[in-house]
Amino acid sequence: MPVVNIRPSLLSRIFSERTLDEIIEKLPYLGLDIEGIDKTNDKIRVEFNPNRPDFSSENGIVRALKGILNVELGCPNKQDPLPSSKLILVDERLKDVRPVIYGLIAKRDIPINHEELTQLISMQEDLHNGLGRKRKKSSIGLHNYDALTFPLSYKGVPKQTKFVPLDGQKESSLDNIISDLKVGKEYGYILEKFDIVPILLDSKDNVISFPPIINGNTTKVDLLTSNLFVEVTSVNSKSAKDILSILAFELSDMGFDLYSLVIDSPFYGEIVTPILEPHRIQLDFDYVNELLGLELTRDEILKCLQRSRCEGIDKGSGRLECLIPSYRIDLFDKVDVCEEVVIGYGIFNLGPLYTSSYFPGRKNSQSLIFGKVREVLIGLEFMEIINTSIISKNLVRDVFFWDHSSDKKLVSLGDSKNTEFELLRSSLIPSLINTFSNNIHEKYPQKLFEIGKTFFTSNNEIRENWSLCVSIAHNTTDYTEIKSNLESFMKYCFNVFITTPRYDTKYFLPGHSARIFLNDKVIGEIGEIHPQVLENLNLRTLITIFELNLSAVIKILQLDQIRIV
Amino acid sequence: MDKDEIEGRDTSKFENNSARSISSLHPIERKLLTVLRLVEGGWITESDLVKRSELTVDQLRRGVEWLRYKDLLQVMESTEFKVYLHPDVSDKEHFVLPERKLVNIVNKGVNKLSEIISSGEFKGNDKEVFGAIRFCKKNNWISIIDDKVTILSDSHEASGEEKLMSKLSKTEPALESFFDKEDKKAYESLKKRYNVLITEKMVDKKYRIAQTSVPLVDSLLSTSDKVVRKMTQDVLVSGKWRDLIFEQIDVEAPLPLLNYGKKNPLVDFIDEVKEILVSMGFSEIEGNLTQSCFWNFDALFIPQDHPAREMQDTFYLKSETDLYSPLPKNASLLQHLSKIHRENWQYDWNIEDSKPYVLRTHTTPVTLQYLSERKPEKDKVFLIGRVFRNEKVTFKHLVEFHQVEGIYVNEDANLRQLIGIQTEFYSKLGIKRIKFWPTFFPYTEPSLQSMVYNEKFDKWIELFGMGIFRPEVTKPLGIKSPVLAWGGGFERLAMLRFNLDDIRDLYSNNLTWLKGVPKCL
Repeated sequence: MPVVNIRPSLLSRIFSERTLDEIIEKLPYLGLDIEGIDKTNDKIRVEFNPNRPDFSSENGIVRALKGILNVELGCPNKQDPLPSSKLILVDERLKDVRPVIYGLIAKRDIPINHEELTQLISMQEDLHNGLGRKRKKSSIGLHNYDALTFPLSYKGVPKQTKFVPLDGQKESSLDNIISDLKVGKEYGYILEKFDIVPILLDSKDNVISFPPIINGNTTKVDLLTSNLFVEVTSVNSKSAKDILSILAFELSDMGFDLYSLVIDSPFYGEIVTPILEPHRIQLDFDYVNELLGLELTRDEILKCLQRSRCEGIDKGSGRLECLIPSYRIDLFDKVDVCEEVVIGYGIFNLGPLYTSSYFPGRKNSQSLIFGKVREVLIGLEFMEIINTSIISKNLVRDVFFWDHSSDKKLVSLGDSKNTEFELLRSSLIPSLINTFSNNIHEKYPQKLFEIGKTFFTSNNEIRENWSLCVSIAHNTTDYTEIKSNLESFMKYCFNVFITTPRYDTKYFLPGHSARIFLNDKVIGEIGEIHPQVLENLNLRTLITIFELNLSAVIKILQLDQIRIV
Repeated sequence: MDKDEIEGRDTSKFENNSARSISSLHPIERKLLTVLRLVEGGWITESDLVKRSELTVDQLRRGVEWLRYKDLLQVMESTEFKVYLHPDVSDKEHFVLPERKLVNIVNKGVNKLSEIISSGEFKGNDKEVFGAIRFCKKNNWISIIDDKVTILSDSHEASGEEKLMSKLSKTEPALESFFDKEDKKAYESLKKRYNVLITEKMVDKKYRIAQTSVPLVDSLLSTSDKVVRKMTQDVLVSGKWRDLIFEQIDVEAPLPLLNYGKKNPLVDFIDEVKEILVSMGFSEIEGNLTQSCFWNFDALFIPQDHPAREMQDTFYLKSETDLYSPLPKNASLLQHLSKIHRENWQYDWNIEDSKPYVLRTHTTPVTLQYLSERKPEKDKVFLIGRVFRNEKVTFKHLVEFHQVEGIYVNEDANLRQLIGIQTEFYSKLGIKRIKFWPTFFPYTEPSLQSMVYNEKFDKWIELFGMGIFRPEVTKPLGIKSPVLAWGGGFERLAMLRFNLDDIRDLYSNNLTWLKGVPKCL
């Protein structure tokens, strides 16, 4: 989850009637996770959920705190952007590349300070990574308004076009920027398949931005900048609108006056941005109470919404209209409104309700069968172990010698951060033998079993089976002993007899292994583990083993419908 | 087994053995007393006792302790010197003492002192010659006039020293205490010479039956033909037991632990939690570990370009043959979902991106398929199963772990009931202090996370997440009632239960740990 820093000193100043601890205590009730409190460095680190990009700045969090601390209620006050009649022209050639550009102008008398610039840049990064989907969907450019001249033109150009990128000394072609600069290498793939790519030019044909890669150098924002031009380019309008709204509220909180721009687009005509009108969701007052299990009056519901920095309007006949500030991009359904009500109400005020409907709870038949299987094996003195479903190729090679006929049926992982996790196991035998090799210093005899899933492919689909593997390790264990355990198990657990015709595979001692048949169907295999396998795993004691396809046994014996009587 | 029992005997326990009974004997005691009774002169050394009793030193020492405690045995510690020839002497076949060497030379006709000194035997070593002269004179073997040596008749006799040496060369090392008067004198003399004898100090214990207890021991041993070690079937069936006395056995010694079959502790705990859920009216469901992206992500309202779907978090599956997960047959479900994704997330939902197989990152796809198939108006189901995350394994993260999840469907289901279900569940696990915070999941709204207070660590721990499934999730499945859902990682609970700091311990399969976790905890 993304992280943001808040200054305790700022909180104490704004909420001067509360102690700092009281304020901090409220943060989790906004859905923020406190990572650490460092009062000496004036820092509280909090994690916020990705659905709340407006929390990517201190101001956004303060805005919400003001609501639940009853300092400011309802939709945040902000002036409507003043019209500027400045224009951005959009080029038709960008239709399939990155067709949308939204922008705003923010002006104030004092230059932006270091603190604010850091906040803005960190917010920009969070928005790029989250809503912007690593700039693929949307990206943001912050510019010194005074260093450019309108109208701007958002144009599609070939990659040979040249300009001086941010912090660069000389002109480079767009191609070179993509291949040479760090940001180019990181985000260049977004433009890979296009011959025509977007740039933003001012009226003097200075390139001020090459979205979504890098800005031009002429409009760089520094600590002398007091007027900003902000643009968001995007593959769709909603994303551009959302991101620009969040930035608009942030800049407004920083004391900037906002000015709107006119976008002249061949795709949807002239529009004025930013678009900051609250959006509206209609629902019934009753629905809120029903979903939350509360009995709030209409006024209480309206008050709760205000504490969540929304606004409710009683439309009569039980209808409620909720006004949502445009930076709250996470609210779009009536259930979202209910959550705002409950946050405004205070989740700590919600008492538990106990349901009275009767439900006959029961375990499923498979759990019941496995419980009985375990009981019989425990009676035969076996200890249950559990291994992971994902195992390493090395282990399979050591135990099964890569029996290539079954190789094709194996399922492997596309990518793994751990070398011991590479394959889905098709048998429990390798991991069980590995368990013995991890326990060579323990007392013998060792008698182990595992119940787990095995995986293989069939007709391009993955099949899963429940499998049971039972094994004995000590110096004199042999086929007779393991088969005696198998027969005892089958008899005591299912009251059935099995047959075991001879069957040789690489990992069993030749002549000392068999397939297990139940009602003429193969359900498993049994044998003495081949000495080469034991040597491969540094084992100095003998091992005998059997593995059963439990899913098959359940099916053959029709155990899935367990009858009590 | 027999040996284990004997060796496992803990003598310290005898200190407070009220019985102090000597009505019968332990087999070790019996063996010791039998030997001791036959020893001539009463005392026997420990080494002899080991040999004759055929016990190990350990067994003997323990037996001795028991007998001493019963006042049946006396112990005497003695110091003894063991004497044997130095290897320099014993290894040479024809070693003679210098005084004898001198006599032999003179007998060959060399009788001038200067010639004797320079002879091949003494090789100019005048000190050795003078030493030899001193001993010859003491033995009255020679007389010297001027520088001429004359042999006397006593020289035909062996000296005391020679006699002792020849004795020592024939016998095993001798004990000083067995030397007679002559030997002792010779020993004192030879002891002073360089590299002739070796003397070793030995501390030995000697035992004998306590004089006052001889009659008691006799009576204890005399019953031996009536004493048996164990009850046997033969003894029972024949009725002989009526005439027999049974040996006293050690009833206090700890014995080796037996092999034992056992459920895995984690599985056992899972079963316990299942019982709790069943008692709350939840029924168990089950499903595949391999799932399509459709059920793992799309159906949960997670857009196809969502970061959680990237390779670094999720295991995508492949095979030598291509893999296509079966998508729902229900075409309207696909259409409905595609529309919801397009409208809400503003992108073109692509059915191809729904097909790849993944290892489920949570258990919720199973729940959704259950809802999609049954379309219940009211229901209460749960599952506990494995889930997978492509993460680096650490003390608090596993790649493969368990998740517990439950849902409650009812037309009047509400958020406070969800809090009620969690409160009841935690209370059945013994957790009393809980609090709830808002959080975010893409597929629930409102969403909460629960914090529980752990007394052992004196801190709040984040446990299960919960919420009401979004209409975007339930509507395409054909579910009209609200669905309350809760769940989370199971191992975190198990770590609290088994007092573990490292989550990997749960899967280490270390047999000592597996056996060591008590069944009742």
